[in-house]
Amino acid sequence: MPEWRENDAEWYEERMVHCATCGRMIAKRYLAESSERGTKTYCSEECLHLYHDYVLVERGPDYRPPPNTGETYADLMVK
Amino acid sequence: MVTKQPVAQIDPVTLSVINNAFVNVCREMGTAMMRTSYSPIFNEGLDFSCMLFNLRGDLIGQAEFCPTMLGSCQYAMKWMLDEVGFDAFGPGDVFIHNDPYRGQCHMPEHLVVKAVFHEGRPWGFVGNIAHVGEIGGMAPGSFAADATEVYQEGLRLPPLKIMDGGEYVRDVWRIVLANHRTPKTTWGDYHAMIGSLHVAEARVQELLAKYGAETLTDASDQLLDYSERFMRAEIAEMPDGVYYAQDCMEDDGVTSRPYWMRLRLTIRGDGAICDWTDSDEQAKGPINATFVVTAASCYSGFLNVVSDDIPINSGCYRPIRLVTRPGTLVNVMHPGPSVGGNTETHPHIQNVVIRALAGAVPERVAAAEGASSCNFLFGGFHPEYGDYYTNYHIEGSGWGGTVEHDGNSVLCPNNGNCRNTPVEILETKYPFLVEEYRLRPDSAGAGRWRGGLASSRTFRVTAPEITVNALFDRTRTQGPGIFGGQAGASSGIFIQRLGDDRFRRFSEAFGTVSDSKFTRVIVTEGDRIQLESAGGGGLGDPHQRPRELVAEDIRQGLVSAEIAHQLYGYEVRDEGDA
Repeated sequence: MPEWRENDAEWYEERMVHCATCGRMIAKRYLAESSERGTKTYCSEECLHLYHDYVLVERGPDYRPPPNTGETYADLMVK
Repeated sequence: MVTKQPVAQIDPVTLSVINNAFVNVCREMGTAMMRTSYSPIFNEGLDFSCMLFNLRGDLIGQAEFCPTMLGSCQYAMKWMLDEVGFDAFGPGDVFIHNDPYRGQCHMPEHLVVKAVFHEGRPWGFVGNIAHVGEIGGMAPGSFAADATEVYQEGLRLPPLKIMDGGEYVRDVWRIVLANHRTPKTTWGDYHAMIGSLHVAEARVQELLAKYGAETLTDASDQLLDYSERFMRAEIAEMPDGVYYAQDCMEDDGVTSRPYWMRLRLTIRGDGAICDWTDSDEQAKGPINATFVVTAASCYSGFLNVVSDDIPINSGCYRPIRLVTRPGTLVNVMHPGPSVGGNTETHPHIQNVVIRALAGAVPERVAAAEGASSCNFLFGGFHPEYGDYYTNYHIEGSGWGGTVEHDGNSVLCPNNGNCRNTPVEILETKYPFLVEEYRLRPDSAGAGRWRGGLASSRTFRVTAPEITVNALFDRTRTQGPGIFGGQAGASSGIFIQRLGDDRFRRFSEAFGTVSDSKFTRVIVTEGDRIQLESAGGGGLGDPHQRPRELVAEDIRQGLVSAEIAHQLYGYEVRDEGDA
């Protein structure tokens, strides 16, 4: 079950925590969800749900975009 | 996510009156800022936004300011509350915050915030974000177009208290003023920002005295929910589907390659998902957008195609969800630089959103705009006044043609909604002579509805030397047209050294890596600098443009007879014709 946690960085530390869905940095409280793939962090329950309803469905758990699509600006102008 | 059900529904008339009161408070804040600030980017450019927040940090009131700031401010405000804690705000305290990794747009953008107390308890917050024209760093004017990390971009301030119970927190002020090149201007602009908070605080307290805290809080919550319902209803009318669009930044000032932003937009029921996962990794140079810039671009992209009647607050942003990868062009990670991500990448991102929406609501979109603020910054010692000065200058570009009319000409990209600075102000304050400022004929993308025209401005240097920086885009690319419309003209910045017979690119004259993004180039008396903004894209087949409109464009000198013939198929028939 996901649980709310706090970024326990000291005041003099900058420890970055990002939301697994929207990608924004999280200031303090985050939702942690642990699975066999590790722990994912979310900024809100909405982003937790979006990860399951959209990201996992449309992209899959380990999606990485292709390194180079080879497009040029001329391609865009034609499209 | 609709907020808690209020105890009593407030009647629509009272709700509308309160909403308009919130808008007017923000407008009055803006007037105070404009009339009391020191720098032209405040009092002429109006590069600021004023807003009201509830105790959760939701945006509940705003006015006609910069869409970038209005879409992002809730993130900066919520971050501030999370980091410093609600209890840190006391009466008379003012906090400041410009950290791009903590919910801000880019470092020049400073948020100042003050809590409003009523009967001894905080009710909400008044705040404003403004572009402080000089914050230190490697380049005068703090637009370090070839920076490779945030530390070169100026002084980064996490949420800090600068006024404590109405008194200066002197240690903080001294650090700030010691790190800005023009501390007098910072002093004046900071006070304009803080002064406008006092104005807003007084007006909100009048509203609290009139309506009571509970009614005003309930009204705020109901306005948020109303805006959410309104936006959901608008999105629900769009056909469900997945729509794609993309664009690129031509280079990052450090490397000579384009960086792509790619959108997969899903309309699903009454919500939208803006998925930027396929965008390029973050650039070395400062064209990266922070997460909040990308979020604000998505919000303003949607606001361009939905009803104008939606009260703009955090509620209308709720149905629009984002998916991004940290460490990409659209979500920079520390210590990546981001100063150009706000002015240049933002309008590109917004244009991509609108282009994707063309698949869903083709009858409501526009072609791409010029999408560069043509940031031109300079600094030096004024030969007459003796003081060190810097200035942040922007140019208007052409907007895209819409389904109802031609694009507007020579306006700041619509993410910024700023004004052009008058020639007289520039010449009075800085050692430049503006030799020419005009529309560029044939710069508009041809179309049934053509794009807006770009401008051309020529400065002559009248000081022994001036250090100049530039951060442009679209100098080698163009704002695309749509539905058969053609692209607008590219932008450019050129230099004619004293004694030279022609204008040259800066890479040719000074060996800069980029023609559009460079810093610390020293120009000298008699040199001439030409700024050309980009034209807007056209919408629809140019051959469908009514003949009388083409004739009028020729008559006004906006389109040449040659281009009219070549792109519009226009033939001059007789002497009475254009």
